[in-house]
Amino acid sequence: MNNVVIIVGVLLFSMMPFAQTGIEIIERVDNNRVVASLSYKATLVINIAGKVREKSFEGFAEGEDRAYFEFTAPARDRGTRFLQIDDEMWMYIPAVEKATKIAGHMLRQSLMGSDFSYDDFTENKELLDMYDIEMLESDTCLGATCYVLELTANVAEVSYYRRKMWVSESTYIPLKTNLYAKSGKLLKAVTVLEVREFDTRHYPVRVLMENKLRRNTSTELILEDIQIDITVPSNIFTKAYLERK
Amino acid sequence: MYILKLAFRNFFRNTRRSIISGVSVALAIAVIIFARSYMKGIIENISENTINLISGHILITTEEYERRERMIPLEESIELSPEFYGLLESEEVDVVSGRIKFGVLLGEEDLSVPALGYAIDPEKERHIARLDRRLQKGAYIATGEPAALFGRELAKRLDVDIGDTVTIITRTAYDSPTGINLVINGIFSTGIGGIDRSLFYIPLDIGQQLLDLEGRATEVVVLVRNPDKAIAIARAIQMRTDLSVVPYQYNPLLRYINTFSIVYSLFYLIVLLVACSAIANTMLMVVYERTREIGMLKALGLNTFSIINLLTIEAGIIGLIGSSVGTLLGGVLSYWLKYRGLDLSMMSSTTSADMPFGPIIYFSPTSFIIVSGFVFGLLVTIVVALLPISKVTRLEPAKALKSI
Repeated sequence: MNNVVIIVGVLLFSMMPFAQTGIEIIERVDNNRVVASLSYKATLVINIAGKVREKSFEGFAEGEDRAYFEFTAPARDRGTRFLQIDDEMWMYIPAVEKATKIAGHMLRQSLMGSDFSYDDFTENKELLDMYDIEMLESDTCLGATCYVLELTANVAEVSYYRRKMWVSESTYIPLKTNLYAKSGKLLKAVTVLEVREFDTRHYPVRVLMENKLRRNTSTELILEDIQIDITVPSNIFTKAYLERK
Repeated sequence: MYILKLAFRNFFRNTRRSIISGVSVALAIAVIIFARSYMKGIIENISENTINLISGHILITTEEYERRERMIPLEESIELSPEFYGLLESEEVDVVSGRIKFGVLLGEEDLSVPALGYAIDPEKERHIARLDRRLQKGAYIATGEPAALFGRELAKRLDVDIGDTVTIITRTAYDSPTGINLVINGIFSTGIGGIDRSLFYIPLDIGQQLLDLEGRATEVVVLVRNPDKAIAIARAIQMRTDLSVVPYQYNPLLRYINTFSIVYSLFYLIVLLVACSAIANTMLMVVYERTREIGMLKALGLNTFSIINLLTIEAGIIGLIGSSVGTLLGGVLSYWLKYRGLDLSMMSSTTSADMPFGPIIYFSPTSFIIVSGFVFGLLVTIVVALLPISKVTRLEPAKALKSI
């Protein structure tokens, strides 16, 4: 009898790491997505009803609430810059020669005509701080076995009230995420097309965003030259740097 | 002749009663002429503003732009090429001008004020939007100048004045954020709350640069020499292009207003019914009070036809005098307000805010409104009087004589 108890105990103990809770999974997701600092070059491939436009930019991010990026192509967008500090975002357009604040609902508007909003682009907060997590039955997604989780906002300041995520069991990257409004309406669908492994984490480098409120549109974000956990000069996250000539 | 004399004598026999009947006819006709001239003035005001500020006599856009106009789809533009102008070449066409309508955010730092911009050809629009005549202060805009004309209320909301610089932020036709600093050259007032509160105008070439629409426009406005031919001219243009070509008569607002005028016809009918009931009541009194007299006339040998004639002429005299006075009153008042105008803003500070017409309504009486008002008053009085007359004349003389 004692042997049976020991065997069952050992079996249960050995299974424990596999029976992860939703919170543990999201912790690992957050470990992948939230970076201390980052620099990158990126391209937005915007497809609107078959018409494709490319827009290139490069930028930096630091912590949860500091980001800077500047468009480099096409020529008409060159020099357009964005700066996020805490919950405020500023935009600099060369012709205007001064920074303009983007606030409130405007942050949910399209970034440069893409399917991403300003909020989508600068979001670097931990999901655990904003959502209650419910774990659903596992599923396969994009050829990988995935944990399926449903996240419901427990704070008011979120872009999306509910998220349904298909998180890869091997990389802890949400390969697919559906973003919903409080009404239950599907707002956006995010698909990770390519993941790259860095020292301590996996990071998505090709992401497809589909704004379900627009018809026949999708945007692919391609990240290149990614450097994670670097030292970013502090003057970059200042209005003076944004408004430099 | 004898009947006519008798009718006149009867008319003056109870002067007070005759005056009351005449006054009710006069008032009804005056109100109808006044109301019709007022409504026609409003419809003309709305039509003129719609043609000048929105559609011209003919508005040309792409089909898709027309379908999604509320979204202001800048990518749906028309190239203002010689080939395009060639499509519109006709002796009937007076002015052709490209416009770009675009949504913007305004404000010092936080872009809190949404507004609607129009990029227009300043010289051509002197004949269309005629903003040079609507300037309240400052100067008009010129091609090549990064300057703007602001609606009076919009300038007030932003607390800006002539010479101030305003930053506008918008999106190009390629959805990139863009902006420009504009000097306010002039402040205009159309008297239409919605326009004065949210519109500003900039030169077309400046708008084309701002919105990445060089050589293009999203709307093309056409003025024709004879507006009545706009539908036919639009059809002729439509035959040569797959663009949307809409004459002003098909403008949804104007169509709605025209439908609405049917509702106002009901109002005239109600006024008339009230007047009719007053006339009918008076004639009823006139006839029933004189039942014995009618019996006496019948007993003396006056035939029914002559009695009907007599009473109808009496009603006709009331109708003629009442309608004449009413027509004169309504006509004089309407013509006076045609030249002087009725300033609705005097009545309420918010009157003009949400109405699609200016605060000063110039009445538009026509000879048709005046003559039809007069004829209508006369005929209705007689027709309404016939009912009691026919009843009384059917009485036997002996019975009529016995009545109190």
